[in-house]
Amino acid sequence: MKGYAGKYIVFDLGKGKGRAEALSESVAINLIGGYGFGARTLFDYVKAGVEPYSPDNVIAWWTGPLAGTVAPTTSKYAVFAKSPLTGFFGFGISSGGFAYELKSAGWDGVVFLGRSPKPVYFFVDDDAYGLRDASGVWGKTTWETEELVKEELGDDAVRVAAIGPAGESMVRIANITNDRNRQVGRTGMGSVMGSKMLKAVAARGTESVDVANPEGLYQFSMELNERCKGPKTEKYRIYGTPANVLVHQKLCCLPSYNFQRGTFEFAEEVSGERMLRTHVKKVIACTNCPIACDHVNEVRDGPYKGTVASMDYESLDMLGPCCGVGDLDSITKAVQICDTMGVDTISAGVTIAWAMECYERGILSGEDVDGLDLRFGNAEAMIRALELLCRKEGRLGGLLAEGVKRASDAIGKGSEKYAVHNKGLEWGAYSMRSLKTSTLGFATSIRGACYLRSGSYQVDVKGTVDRLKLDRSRGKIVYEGENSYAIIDSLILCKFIRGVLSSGDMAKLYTLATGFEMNEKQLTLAGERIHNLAKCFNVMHGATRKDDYPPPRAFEEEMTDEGVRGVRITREEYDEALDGYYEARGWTGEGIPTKGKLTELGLEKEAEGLGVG
Amino acid sequence: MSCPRSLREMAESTIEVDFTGPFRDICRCKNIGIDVDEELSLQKLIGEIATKFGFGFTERLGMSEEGYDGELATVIVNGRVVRGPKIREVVLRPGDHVVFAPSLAGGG
Repeated sequence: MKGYAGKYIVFDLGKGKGRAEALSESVAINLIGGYGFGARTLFDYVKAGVEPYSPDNVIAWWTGPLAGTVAPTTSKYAVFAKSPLTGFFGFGISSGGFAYELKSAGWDGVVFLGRSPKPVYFFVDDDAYGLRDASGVWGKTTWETEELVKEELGDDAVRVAAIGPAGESMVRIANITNDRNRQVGRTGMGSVMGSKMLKAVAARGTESVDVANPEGLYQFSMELNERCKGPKTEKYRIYGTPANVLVHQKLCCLPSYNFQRGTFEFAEEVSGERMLRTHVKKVIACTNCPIACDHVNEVRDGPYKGTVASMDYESLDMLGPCCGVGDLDSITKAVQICDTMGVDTISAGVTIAWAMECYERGILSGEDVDGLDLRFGNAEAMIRALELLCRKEGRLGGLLAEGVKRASDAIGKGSEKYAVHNKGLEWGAYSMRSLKTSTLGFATSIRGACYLRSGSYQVDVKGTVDRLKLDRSRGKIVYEGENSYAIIDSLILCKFIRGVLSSGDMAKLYTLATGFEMNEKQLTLAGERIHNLAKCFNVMHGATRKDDYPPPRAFEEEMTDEGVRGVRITREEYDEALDGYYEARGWTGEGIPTKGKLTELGLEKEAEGLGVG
Repeated sequence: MSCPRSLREMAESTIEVDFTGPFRDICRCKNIGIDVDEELSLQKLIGEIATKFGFGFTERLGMSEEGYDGELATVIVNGRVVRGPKIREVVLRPGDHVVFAPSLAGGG
C-alpha cells in the first residue's frame, strides 16, 4: 500500500506482547487516516459502559497517509481513547516530529490495550517494538522524560511523546507532550496513559515512506510550500496566534473573568503585538513545515526570569484574561508549568477561572482553596493553584484536577452555573454570546467544547453572518465545517495550511500519495462518514440532544461590554439552530444518526449495533 | 491626520481608527484620529491611510475590485465586521470607530 505503512501494532500492555495487523484497503479509502482510524478503533474496541480508566479502554495512536512524505505540515499524529473528562469520544492531535518517525519506522499507528502492572514506556525502532522499564522516569516532567529517554536509547533523533506527573496521577485534564512544546492537549489523553502506567511512547524510523507518485507529490508539495510563504499564512509565521488577542478584544469576544466579559482592560499588555517585542525568543517549525508558527517566549526579568514556554492564543487567554491576569511573565510561567507537568492549558485556565469566580462569590471558602487569595487577577495565586492542580495536592488541587464539570458537580451550591464547558470539556477562548455560530459548533462538537472541530467561528468573524444572532441556517454551516475538518484531521494536515489548500487540493494530495483515486466529492463524503462514526461512538456511550448545549452562562447572563451590551443567546434561537444542524446532518431531533443516513455512508453495521431506526 | 494620538485627545469630530498586527507595523502606530466634517466613505479612509503610510496597507488588506479578502484581514466598524464586498458601501461619520486587524488565526 502506498502512502500508508500498511500495518499497525496492537499491543497488550498487561501481557507485554503485541502483534502487527495489516491495514485493509477499504478502511484506508473509506476512513482516510488519523481521525477516521481513531473513530474505527474506539467504536470497535470500547463498548458501552467501559470506564475511561478501566483496562478495557484503549489508547490508540494514529498517523495519516501523508505523514512521513514530502507534503507540508503533515508530521502530525492523533491519540484516541474514551475521555475521562467527557465519557465520550476523546482525542487530541499533536505536531512536531513524532509522526514522521513513527511512520518512517513503518507503522501507521499503535493501539494499546490493557494496563501495565508497572511504569513502562513503549519504543518503536523500525520493525522492532516493545516495552521498557520507566521506573527511572516515573515522576519526571515531560521535558525531563524526553531527555532521559533519548539518553537511555542513545539516539538524539528519537522522538518521545510523554506524560508528566499530572498524567501519572490521573489528573483528568492531563495531556501528552512531544518535542517539548507540542501537545495532544485536550480530553485528558495523558491521564488515560497514566491509568495504563504508560509513561511515554518513543519512535525512531529510518525508512522512507513509499508514495504512489513521487514526482507528482514532490512538485505539488513544492507549490504548496510556495503558497505557504504568502500573506495567508503571515499571521502564523510572523505574529503567531496571540495576534488574536486584540482582534477578539475589538469584537468583544475575548473571554475574560471566566467568560463573564468579552473584553479585558489589560488586553494590550498581553497582546501578541506586545509579546513579539518583549517576550518572543525564537520561532520554531515542526518537521516538514514551511510556516513555523511556534512562538517561544522567554521571561527576561523579574521573579520568573529564564522561564521559557511556547505561547499560543488559547493558552494565553485561558491563563491570562480568563483568570483576570494581565501580565505576560506570569502567563508564560503558568504555561511552562502546564507543559512540563503535563496538563492542558485551556482546561487548566478555565477550571481555575471557575474557582476564582466561586471564591469571589463566596461559594468556595478560604478552606476550600487552601488559604489562597484566589481572586481574579492574582497571578501568584493562580500559579499556586495550578501547581496544586498538577500534583492533586491539597483540597483545592484535588478538586481542580477533576476538571471544571466534576469540580462544580462536587461543590454544587449553584457553582455549576459558572462552569464553562460542553460535555465536560472546558470551553476554548471564543466568547459564547458574541460569536453565536461558533457556539453552535463548540456545543455540537464530538469531543466537547472545541473550536477545532468545525471552525465555525470563521463565518462570525468574517462577517459572513450576523454573529450576534442564531438561526436555522447556521446548522448547515457547522455541518459543512465539521465534514471539512474531519478530512483535515484524518489526512492529518495542520489547520494553518487550510487557507492555501482547497478540498480539491486535499483530494489531489491523497491520490498522489496513495494512488487511490479520490475526488473532492468522495473526500467530503469520507469526512461525513468519519464524523458519523465518531458520533455513533458517542451515542453508544449515552449522548443525546441534551449534550449539545452551551453552558448556562450563554443563556442566562447578558453581556455588559460596550458594543455588545445586553447580548445573550435565547433558548429559542439556539433550539432552532440545533434543529437546523440535526436536519443538515440527517439525524433525528434527538441528535441520533438514522439508519438511512448511516446506510448511505456505508455504516450499516454500526446502525445495526446501535439499533437505530 | 496625526500619529500617534491618544483616544482621549480625539474630539467628537473625528473618526477613531485602530490598527493591530501587521497594520500597526505598517502604520507604525496603534491608532489615529481623522477629522471629518460630516461623512467619509470607508473606501476613501483606506485611500487616505494608504497615501499617508504606504500602499503596503491596501495590499495587506487584500483589496481588490470586489472588496477585501476576509482571509487576510478583518475590518470592524463600530463593533461590526464589514464583510469584504460591503467595504465599498460603508459611510463613516464623526464618532465612528474603525479597526483594521488581521483575520483570526485559529487551529493547529
